[in-house]
Amino acid sequence: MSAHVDKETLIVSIAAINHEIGTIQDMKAIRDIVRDKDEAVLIHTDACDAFGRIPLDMKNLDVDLASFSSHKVYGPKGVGALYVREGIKIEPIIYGQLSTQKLWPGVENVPGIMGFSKAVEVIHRNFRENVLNMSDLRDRLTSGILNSVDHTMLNGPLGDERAPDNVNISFLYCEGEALTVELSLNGIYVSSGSACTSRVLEPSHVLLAIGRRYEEAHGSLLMKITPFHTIADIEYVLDVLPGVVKRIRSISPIKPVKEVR
Amino acid sequence: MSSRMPLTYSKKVLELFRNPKNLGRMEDANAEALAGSLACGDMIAIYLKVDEPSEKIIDAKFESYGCAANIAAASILTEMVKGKSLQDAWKISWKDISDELGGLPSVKYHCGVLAVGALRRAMRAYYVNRPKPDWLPGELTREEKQALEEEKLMEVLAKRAQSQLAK
Repeated sequence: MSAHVDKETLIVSIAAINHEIGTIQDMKAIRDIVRDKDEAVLIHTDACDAFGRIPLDMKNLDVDLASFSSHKVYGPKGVGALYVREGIKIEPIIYGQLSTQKLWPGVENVPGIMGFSKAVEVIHRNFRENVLNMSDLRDRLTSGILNSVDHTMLNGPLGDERAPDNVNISFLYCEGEALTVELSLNGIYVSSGSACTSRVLEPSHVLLAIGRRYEEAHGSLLMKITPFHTIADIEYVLDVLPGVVKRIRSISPIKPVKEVR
Repeated sequence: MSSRMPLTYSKKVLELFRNPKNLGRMEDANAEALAGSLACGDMIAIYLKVDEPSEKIIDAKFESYGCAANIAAASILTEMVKGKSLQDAWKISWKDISDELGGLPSVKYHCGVLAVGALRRAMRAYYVNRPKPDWLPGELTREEKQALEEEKLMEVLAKRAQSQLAK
């Protein structure tokens, strides 16, 4: 971090939690490193995936800007919030019908905002209990999969350094898109870092950045726990998943055939 | 990864993905080939049993490492070539595969291309030790080149990723 901040740096923007592998960043340490180098550098955090998962005390966090989105706390899509510390002036990125106080032109999506507000209230109602419950389900799912399916690897950290809702596992000799399709036919909706699931046919840059090989990224599944999930849901996934992985692996020419060119 | 949700596939693609026809290795194949690579996340093996006197494909099987479209494309191709002469099988295009599957999503066209590439590579393998017929092009066709390019590209990318991490 220190090596990347210099005189040219205007703003540092870091996701408080990585949404693919669940890494919780030490935002305070990052803030201190940046401010040590240069007091004037602004610090922004994308807190979308942290909101409702870890405590976010803006005073304590002391960043300049933070963004939040409604759908990540199970509110309506298309609404978000930007925290701007007092005294910081930012320019709108879109101009239109604009009053002096508006960062975004046009009329507000009032029903969306009301829904967002309600979602924030609900997610923080039993915050500690929800987080403990999600962490428990996360660990059950993670260890259940790692213990019941061979040739698997967990992507991202374990325990307290990981978001309570995030499970990301690579299944070797398996292509992730095929896994997601087969799981969806069983009522389980998850995503994959495989190139085949993206519209650009490139595997997840996050998985490549932590040193996963292409085939390990292709075989990855990202599963998210919500406060609405139960132990029964996790048990159902653990029941179905090994068979799904086995079937997809059985289709593959795992031992490559003699190559003729 | 929010955009990484399963695509909407045709009924036929899902049906062949669920119950692939002609799946598995063929021990007594007299022509076989592999196209794509693990690194691409896109790999198809085609096995053919060719009746030598008539040069007709009497059996075809496949294996696939890839997405649902990849599996369905390889499976339908093995269905399409069975009973065809090698010369007729050579003419099958990725578009024919897509049509037969009730249409592939546009980002999945390359699955059809890879299946054709694997099939043609297997046919060339058949003629390696046999007299080559006039209809067999000397130059690689577009589909074969595309398979080759995909393999080379991913080799380069994988190496680059490894060396960047080493730094």
